[in-house]
Amino acid sequence: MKKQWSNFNLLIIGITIGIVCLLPSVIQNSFMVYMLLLIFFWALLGEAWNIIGGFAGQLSLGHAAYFGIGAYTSTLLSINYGVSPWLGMIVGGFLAMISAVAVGYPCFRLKEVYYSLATIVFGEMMRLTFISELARPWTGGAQGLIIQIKDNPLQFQFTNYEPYYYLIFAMMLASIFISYMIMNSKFGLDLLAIRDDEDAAKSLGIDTQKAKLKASAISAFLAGIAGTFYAQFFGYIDPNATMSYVISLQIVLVTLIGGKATVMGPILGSIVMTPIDAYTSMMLGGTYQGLHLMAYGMVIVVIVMLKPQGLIVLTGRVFERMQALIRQTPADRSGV
Amino acid sequence: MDLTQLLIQGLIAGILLGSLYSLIGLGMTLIVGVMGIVNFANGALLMLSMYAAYWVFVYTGVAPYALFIVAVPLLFFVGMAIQRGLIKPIIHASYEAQILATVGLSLFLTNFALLMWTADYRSVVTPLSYSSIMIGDVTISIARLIASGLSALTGVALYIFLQRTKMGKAMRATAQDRVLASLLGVNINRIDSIAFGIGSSLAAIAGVLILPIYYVSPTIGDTFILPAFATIVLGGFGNFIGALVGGVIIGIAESLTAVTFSSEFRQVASFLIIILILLYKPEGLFTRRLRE
Repeated sequence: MKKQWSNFNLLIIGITIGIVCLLPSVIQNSFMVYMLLLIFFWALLGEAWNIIGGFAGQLSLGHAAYFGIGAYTSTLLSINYGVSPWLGMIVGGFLAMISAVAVGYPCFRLKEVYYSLATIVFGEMMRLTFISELARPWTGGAQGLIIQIKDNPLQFQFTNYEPYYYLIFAMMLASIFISYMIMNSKFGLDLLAIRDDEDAAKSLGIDTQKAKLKASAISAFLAGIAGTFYAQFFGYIDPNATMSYVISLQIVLVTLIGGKATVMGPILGSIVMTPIDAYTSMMLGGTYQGLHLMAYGMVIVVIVMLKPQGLIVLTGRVFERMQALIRQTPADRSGV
Repeated sequence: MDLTQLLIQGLIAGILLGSLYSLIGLGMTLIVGVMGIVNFANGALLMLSMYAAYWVFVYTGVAPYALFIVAVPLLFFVGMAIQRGLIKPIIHASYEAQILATVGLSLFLTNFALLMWTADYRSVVTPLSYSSIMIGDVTISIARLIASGLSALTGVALYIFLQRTKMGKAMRATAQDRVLASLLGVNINRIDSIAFGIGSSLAAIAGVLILPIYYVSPTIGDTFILPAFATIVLGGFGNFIGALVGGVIIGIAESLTAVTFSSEFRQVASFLIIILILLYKPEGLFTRRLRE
């Protein structure tokens, strides 16, 4: 019986991946491809956050900093030293990882609220440092840096959407795979135990400090490589666009809406949030500045008050129905 | 100007700025002490009070310090309303929910201000904004001096309120043990509500005090919320004296960073202090607490 289930799941996953891979050539609409790309991008960030924020239950409000570190590392290495962003991406990921450990180390031994506080302050500090006059010769200050995008795959540069589309899809799949592997390992169980009751987890012999540091490092690495993708795709980065507090909150929101501490939650959240966000900021951004962020604030408050489990619960039910229908044999149907 | 003089100037500027951080920090530490909630929306409330005072000033032209009459009661009721509507339902929820509630509120209020009043910088310019006195070779802005003095006065008033009045004692009892306090007949819900009101009013007092000094904009709260976090971490959550002294230390640290290095790295000073405190003395520098 168990085997049947996993076969069914594999089938669904295979079909989905196939469809997504074929989509760009089928729809032939660059705006739609762009939108899908953004969905995968936010899903990747949501998956990254979810490892520390969802599984381990440590509310990070500064993931934009790791994202920005990734974006700036690869870009600066590429502009100043001609290092390929492919390599810069890995370096940026590791730098993000190191800073996550540096922030987590003093905070994880304490009450959780200290971690949230420190991550917020760390994020803002990074943004203000990168935007400062002193850092301007390197970071371009508030004006940011422009990356010349030519057709050069070795330099992580492509002139049309498709390569970026497949790349971010692959990155998202990798993040899902990592999430899935964590969830199905002892490490994942440790994290869930920490989330539920840290003292109990500790008394059971789990090295909670180490587990949390590990989770935050993996999480920051994924956010960092997403930063490089952002820089190479948009060809422009500035501290406000990459490191602002609002980006951190958007990452949290994507996950909360989809369902935190679930593997598929961030993806569902991104599928719902990204198009709404793109449309509202496009339609209202000019005339009603602030309106869509005001709505974000309201959504966060509503989620907190109503404590919904995220959209994953709804889809879970539909999915179970589908599985039940497929599993039903003719005998079942006629039987009861 | 030689270095010692620069340092003295920086030190004095730091103390003046720090007393404002103390004032804002006191409001936050009161709330965290009584109900265990870190109010991330405190900066946004300060911003709201500044706008309220600004608009009253624009339409009536009264002296800036008369705006207390408008801003302080208004924010007291806003604070009470926030406690009723937002804090009370989540008082027993997870720490995550408690943080996200005020973070969401802050995002909402900041962008509400952006929508209503745009991102334009507005200022209340009076002769006071430019006047200063010289003591020796050190220049001191009058507006900052008044702000600092009134902050200290507010701190003393709050201390007397907490120590001497029945309500203040009930508040300290609630901070000490909520269950026991409620068993002894303290209406803890009412105490929460008033504590949140007072916390918001302190932000409003700070808002009116900085009105002649800073530009009003939707993001003005961000400038003050990070040092305020550093203040309450340094002083210890719920620690009255800690917030008072902590604010001044943060102010001096920021000001000296600005003088010796670059004014853009003020926030780095706050962050480093937070990290050092969390590493070596996470309960805060001062052990005497609000509850004692």
